[in-house]
Amino acid sequence: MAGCYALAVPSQGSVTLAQAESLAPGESGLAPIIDVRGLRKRFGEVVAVDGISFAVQAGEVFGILGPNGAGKTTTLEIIETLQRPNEGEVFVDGVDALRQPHRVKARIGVQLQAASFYPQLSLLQLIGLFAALYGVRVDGRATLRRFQLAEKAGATFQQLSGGQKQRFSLATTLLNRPRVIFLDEPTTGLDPQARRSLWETIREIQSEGTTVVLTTHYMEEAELLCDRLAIMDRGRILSTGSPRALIDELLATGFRKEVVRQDASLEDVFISLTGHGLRDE
Amino acid sequence: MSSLASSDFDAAPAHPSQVRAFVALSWYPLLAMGRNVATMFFGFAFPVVFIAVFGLIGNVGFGGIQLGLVDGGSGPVLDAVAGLPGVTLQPGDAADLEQRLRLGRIDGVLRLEGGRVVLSVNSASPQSRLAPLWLQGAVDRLNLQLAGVTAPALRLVVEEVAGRHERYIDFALPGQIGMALLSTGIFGTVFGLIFLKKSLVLKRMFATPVRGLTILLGQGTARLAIALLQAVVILAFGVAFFGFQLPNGVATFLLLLLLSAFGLVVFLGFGLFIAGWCASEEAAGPIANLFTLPQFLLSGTFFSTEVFPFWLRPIADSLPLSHLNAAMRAVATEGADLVAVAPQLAVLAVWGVLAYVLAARTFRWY
Repeated sequence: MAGCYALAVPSQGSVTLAQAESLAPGESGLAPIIDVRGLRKRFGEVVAVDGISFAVQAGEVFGILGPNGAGKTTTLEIIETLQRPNEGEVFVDGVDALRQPHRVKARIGVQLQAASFYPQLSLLQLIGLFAALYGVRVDGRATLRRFQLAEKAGATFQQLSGGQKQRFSLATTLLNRPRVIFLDEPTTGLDPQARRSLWETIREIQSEGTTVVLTTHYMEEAELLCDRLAIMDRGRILSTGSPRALIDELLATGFRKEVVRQDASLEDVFISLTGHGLRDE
Repeated sequence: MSSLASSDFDAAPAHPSQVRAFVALSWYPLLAMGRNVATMFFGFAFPVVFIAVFGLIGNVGFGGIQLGLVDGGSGPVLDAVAGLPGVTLQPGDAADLEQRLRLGRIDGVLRLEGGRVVLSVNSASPQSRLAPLWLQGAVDRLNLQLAGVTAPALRLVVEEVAGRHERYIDFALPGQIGMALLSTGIFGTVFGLIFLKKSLVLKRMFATPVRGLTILLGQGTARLAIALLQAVVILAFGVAFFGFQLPNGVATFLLLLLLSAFGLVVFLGFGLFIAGWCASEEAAGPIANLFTLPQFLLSGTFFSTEVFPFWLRPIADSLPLSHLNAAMRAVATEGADLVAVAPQLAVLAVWGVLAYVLAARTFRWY
């Protein structure tokens, strides 16, 4: 049913982020860039994803939260066409991900959780390799410069620090100028400086019109970075909405947190003492 | 109407050139292997050291007969023996010489007691047991002279046929190429692919529009390039330093490379099968060794399968490396052509089909 999304959709330029955000998926006739319906995935007896449906609007940063084993990575990998679901439908940029996986792969960028890159090759060579895999021409040095990796052009991926690895991995997701990128726990294991720097980069990518779908365990990150969230547990989506809306929903149930007025957090202390500069060297 | 949902604007191709991807997937892994110390050491330095050792073994040949001469002997017998080609005399004290004979340092002890020529030999040494033949000739000639026979009725005329100088290196070198191909095909592929699988390198590649087969073909081509380079290095080293002979020159060289390529493709199949079947290096290591070690020992790599007891020979002779070694040796030492080694290649092909069928059934990308 990929075709029906094309109906009554205004041209890309006329949709502002604010408009996209203000519309709930499915209500407006505005086509979501990702549409997941009734997705179910079993591994033997274990149901990893238990019939979930959600949509991601073009241009937003969409976060999937949930404890380990909630089904976040499996959900991402099904959308990325790396796994096949037992049931359900997935459309990415209007393309049926189950029927035309290669067309989806051409439109997306993927950062796997804890993935590595071909050993013994320099970053510049790795970019050359991925450009060939995507069938695109890229200026490798310019790409590395953009991600503050210019001096590391000759280094191997294995020689990079944690933050540099994540930046390089992010750089490879953009080589094919994708419509959507998927980042699986992009900031796990990074120091506060590297995490903040990556947030900035992700916002920059969003401002260029690329949709970002990410998973995270950090609530602060989700609140600061994501336009909308889905909270998952045991293969189900428990709630979706903007961070503010989810908080308001909770407050509306009468929830009150014991308020301890704190003008600064320990992280503020840490950053003010150690600075914002990246510590990759 | 342009649409937000299904925009092809600026999108990367859904079916990018598999040729460009294939070239990149061959070239970059080849670069990576070239920088891998283990690949270079086990693939190149190791076989070269083996060839050097076997080349030196081949140069140890028949060094003549060493005879101890008990002090005090003299006369015409001594003169006759001293004049024999290939016989070296070492004068010394009787007890000392006997001790050296027992230890195999010399091949006989000669005592001249007037008309008696007494030769002690070491019955445990084949070369020592040949020593009487040498002396018998000298003693017979003296006897004839003493009997006044100047023109014996019977004469032995020995003619030599100029044969190919067969040395151990000529046997060992083709086996070394086979062993290098098996190592590269199995260990390189198994550990290489499992690493790529475990570190999610393959999975990341699968998130691009490239086809799985292109990734495997690229890996195979890179290994093939390495294996052919190994064969060239081993052959060049043998020819340059140890006088390894190529019966038909360049034609033999090219045929050996063709056989190497064929052998590697078959071994790659087994490498893919093991890499696909096993999830970890821990599981794959023993299986890869179980497949390769018996072949190193039983497939005529270091010595001919003819030395095995009768019950072991059918097993030894059916292994894939046995057939590759037999074909390589026929080409390298007898100058056989492709038709002559077709039976061996046919058996190898059967092994290859079996390997790829198994690999196709068990292979998992991630």
